[in-house]
Amino acid sequence: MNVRGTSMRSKRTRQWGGVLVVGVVLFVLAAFVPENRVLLLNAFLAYGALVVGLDLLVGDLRMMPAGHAAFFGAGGYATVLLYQKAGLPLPVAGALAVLIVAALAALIGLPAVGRSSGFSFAIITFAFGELLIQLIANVPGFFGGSSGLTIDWGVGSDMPFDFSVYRYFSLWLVGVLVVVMLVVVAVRNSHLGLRMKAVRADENGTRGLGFNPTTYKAIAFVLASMLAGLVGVFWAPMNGFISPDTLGVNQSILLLGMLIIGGVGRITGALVGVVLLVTLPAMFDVDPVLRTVLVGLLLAIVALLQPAGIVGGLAKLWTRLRRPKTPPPADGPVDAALEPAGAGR
Amino acid sequence: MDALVTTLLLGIMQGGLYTLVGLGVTLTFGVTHILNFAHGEFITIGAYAFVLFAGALGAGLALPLALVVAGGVSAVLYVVGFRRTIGNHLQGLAFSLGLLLFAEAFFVRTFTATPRSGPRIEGTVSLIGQEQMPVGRLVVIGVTIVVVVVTALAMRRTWIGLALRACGDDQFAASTVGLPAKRVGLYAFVVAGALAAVAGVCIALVVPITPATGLSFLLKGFVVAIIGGLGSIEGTFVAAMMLGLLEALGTRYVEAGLTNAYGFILMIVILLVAPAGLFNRRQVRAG
Repeated sequence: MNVRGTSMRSKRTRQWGGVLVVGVVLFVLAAFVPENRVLLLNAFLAYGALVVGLDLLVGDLRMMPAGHAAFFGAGGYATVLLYQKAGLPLPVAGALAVLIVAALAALIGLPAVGRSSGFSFAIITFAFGELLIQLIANVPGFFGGSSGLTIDWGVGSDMPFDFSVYRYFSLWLVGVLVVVMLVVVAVRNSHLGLRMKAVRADENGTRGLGFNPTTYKAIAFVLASMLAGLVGVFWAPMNGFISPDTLGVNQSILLLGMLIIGGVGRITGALVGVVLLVTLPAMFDVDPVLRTVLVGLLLAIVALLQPAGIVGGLAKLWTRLRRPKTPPPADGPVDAALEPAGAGR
Repeated sequence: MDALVTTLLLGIMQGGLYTLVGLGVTLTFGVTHILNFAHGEFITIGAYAFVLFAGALGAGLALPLALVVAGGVSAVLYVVGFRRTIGNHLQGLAFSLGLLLFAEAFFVRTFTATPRSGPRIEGTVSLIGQEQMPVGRLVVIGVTIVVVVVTALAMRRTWIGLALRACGDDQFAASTVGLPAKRVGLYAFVVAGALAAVAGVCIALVVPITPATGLSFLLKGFVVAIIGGLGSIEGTFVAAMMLGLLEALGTRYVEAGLTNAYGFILMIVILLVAPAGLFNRRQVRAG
């Protein structure tokens, strides 16, 4: 094999190994973190999984969904309703919920992805989240209205190993985050990922190659939405409560903000964004409104000055410091997401 | 029958407000290709500026001040930020999303989330039968009609309107005759900010305002801009009137709780039937 082949393979090994290491560390953390910090860890895990999954659209395809949290909320609501109203066991309810989210995403995705891109895609996904909120608020008997749904179980009565409910689901959320990271790494290293890269680079060019860019956008959209739904499936029972706020537009924008501030196109970027915007403010008890002010400001500044995000910016700096004479590689996975489109506008 | 007249008038009022917002979205997008999620905050700025200045200086002075403040903020944001993002629509989108989060939370912190009322125009007018219409709403209808007509004329007759239309039609051709998108974008943002401020003032005249007012109207502005075919002034107007009337009639005769859902359903249906919107001359897909 040539040099490039080995470097590709070592990169792939590094990615898989990285996911494994992160998974083991988080698992140990979830089992032994002090009780009053479990919820903090859970928030990190859930947001981490959401943002890493979202990166499949933003980083790999330059699509900007403004309603990603809607699918997270849909997964949570579907699980709770199937468990509570239909009396299904929790694992069955969860599995069905993911399928329901996939169906919803396909329903929304086909007109949104197939017929339009950019502007309309952002607005239609945005509108979908608002529609769900309207639906929930208008059918309070079934969906619990704007005050939300509570799950009727006691806190931590019969969990294995004497774990509290929160710690028990913490372990499951670690599993969810690992699954999401594995899916993202697998997609990026697959033929599908290669085609998505081609779509990102030049949508019309890919038509010339004989495959339909819409198909790949739709696949990525449904996949990313399913991953978000999966997070909701585990989040809602953990939290014991779900309300329309969790699927609103502010939540969706917060997710995009974390991703862009951390850095699109790489898992570390997404996780750094979550630590910066969720974990640190929660550790230091920052008032939520003030936090939103800071997040917004930071997002605007990062988007303007360093579109590759904090991690992307550091990576660029590192490349420049290591090889001062040569120009940075043109085809890095990092900077593509917010760089100008190759074709069209 | 009596109720129908009131409902139609309400629909026209809403449609007029949506036109003002949608025109701003269409203008800025047409010239700069920036999808500005922070556009709704200009409405909020206009509304709050009007309410605050009206309390201190009287409504007559507050109106121009609100326009100047919103237009000024819009211009500053354009020069500092949006101008650099032209040509990279995801960057512009991310920047505007950040501004949206910042502005909304900032308003909540500064003015709290409790609704505020502006100056009210007292009195009602009797329509046919027993129906009464507050004068304030009729004033809003009048103001929006005047502003929309003036804007439409200005787009046809003035130099700035010509520049905006030229850039919207063909950026490259416009730049070869000395109208670069980066400069014309400034006019678009100032005009859009002022139009949004007019909408904000009108909203403050008829309903109490909150920091979330801007965002809810921005959504409708997006919807009408897309339905009308991005970049088309006539399209925006027709779509806004359609949406306003649909919402008013739906609220009155179908189901009041679903008011906000009608617009989104209308948009999705129209995009399925006509992906480019209703009045898009350039036969391209909307966005």
